[in-house]
Amino acid sequence: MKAPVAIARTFATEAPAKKTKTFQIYRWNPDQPAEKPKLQSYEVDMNNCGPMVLDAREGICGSCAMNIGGSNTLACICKIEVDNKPTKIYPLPHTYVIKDLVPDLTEFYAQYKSIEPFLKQKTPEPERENLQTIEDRKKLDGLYECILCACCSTSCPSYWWNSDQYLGPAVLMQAYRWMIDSRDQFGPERRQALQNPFSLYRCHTIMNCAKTCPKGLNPGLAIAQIKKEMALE
Amino acid sequence: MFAPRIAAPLRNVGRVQASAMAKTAFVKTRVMAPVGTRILSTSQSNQKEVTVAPLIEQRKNRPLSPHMTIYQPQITWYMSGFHRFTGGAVAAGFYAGAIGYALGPMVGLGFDAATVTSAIATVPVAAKVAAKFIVAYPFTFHCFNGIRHLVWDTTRFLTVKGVYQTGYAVLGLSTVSAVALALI
Repeated sequence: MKAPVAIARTFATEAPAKKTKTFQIYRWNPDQPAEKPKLQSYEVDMNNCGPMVLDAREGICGSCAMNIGGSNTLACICKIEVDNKPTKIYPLPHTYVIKDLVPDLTEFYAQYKSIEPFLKQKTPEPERENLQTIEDRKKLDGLYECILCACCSTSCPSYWWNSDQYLGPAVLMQAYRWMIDSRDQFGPERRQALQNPFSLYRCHTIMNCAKTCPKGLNPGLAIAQIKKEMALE
Repeated sequence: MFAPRIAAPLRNVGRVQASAMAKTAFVKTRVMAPVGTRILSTSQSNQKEVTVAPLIEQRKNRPLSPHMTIYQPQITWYMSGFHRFTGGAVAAGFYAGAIGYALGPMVGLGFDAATVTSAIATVPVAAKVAAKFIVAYPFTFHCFNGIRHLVWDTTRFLTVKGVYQTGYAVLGLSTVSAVALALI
């Protein structure tokens, strides 16, 4: 059996009738840049293999984000479908490939940095903690859980075509996370920074983002809330 | 606001250069922005300046991963694409019809009410209904889906469940109303 270590770790369990599953995986080697990317097939013995595409720590870091069976998800929380059809695995869509399934997310991180993802206040620093009511804290639920895996942004056709200027669902949801934080005092300025045709308004409510989010979050709704606040401001 | 934030790093830069002490890496990264740096469109403060020049250089050697061709067909992006397509088609049809009707007689195109009516009268009923449906459906779809988008702008029905429920509702309503229009 020839399986890439990163994809299927095997366990020493007793194997009854052999049950194989085919994985077709995108391969590209930067050391041979002239060679075109190709799909390589791997047969994996399902009796000798964990239940997930990648056996790791379930969905906490976001580094195994990839396109599995046509939609973006985290390999570590994606169950292997046990059937006769091969499962195709590609890197996150419309990204520049560093190697095999590893995309270049430099721009994505730079965009995240550009929204100033930290607390900003105009009043002098409080002597103790920045207090927040339980209700205000609840407003951050569904936003703060994002692990920046980029599944949503790279599922978004608007982001495919305009990633150089459109911030994309993941980054915009984090922008909103700071806008509605009761302790942050730069909401209007944060919104003002998005007041141009591209940064925010390239979102056409396609909603691939919410559909694909492996954490069940809803970036599309957060963007709609920013748009609504900006329209009413 | 952002203005003082732009000024602050610049002042730092000046001070650092004057004293020839590029002490911290924090300041260094800002000082050493090479030629070819581009500023992201949201950027108003120096902090948001991102060096993408090496990135663009590297991209020349990197393949772009597949996207549209491999992404799973879904109600979400398929209906969005269809909304754009029907919007374009309805607009093109409207303009072509209006301009053709206005200019047709002048250039002897034979595109006037009498000619069109008599031409259509010779067509079998089934073809008439089918043709009317083909014209009506993009119109009804675009109208109902447009309302769906307006509802979304109020942040309602903007969950995965809501997107699917309203999606199926639009598909149903636009089909029924297009059939009704085709039968008139």
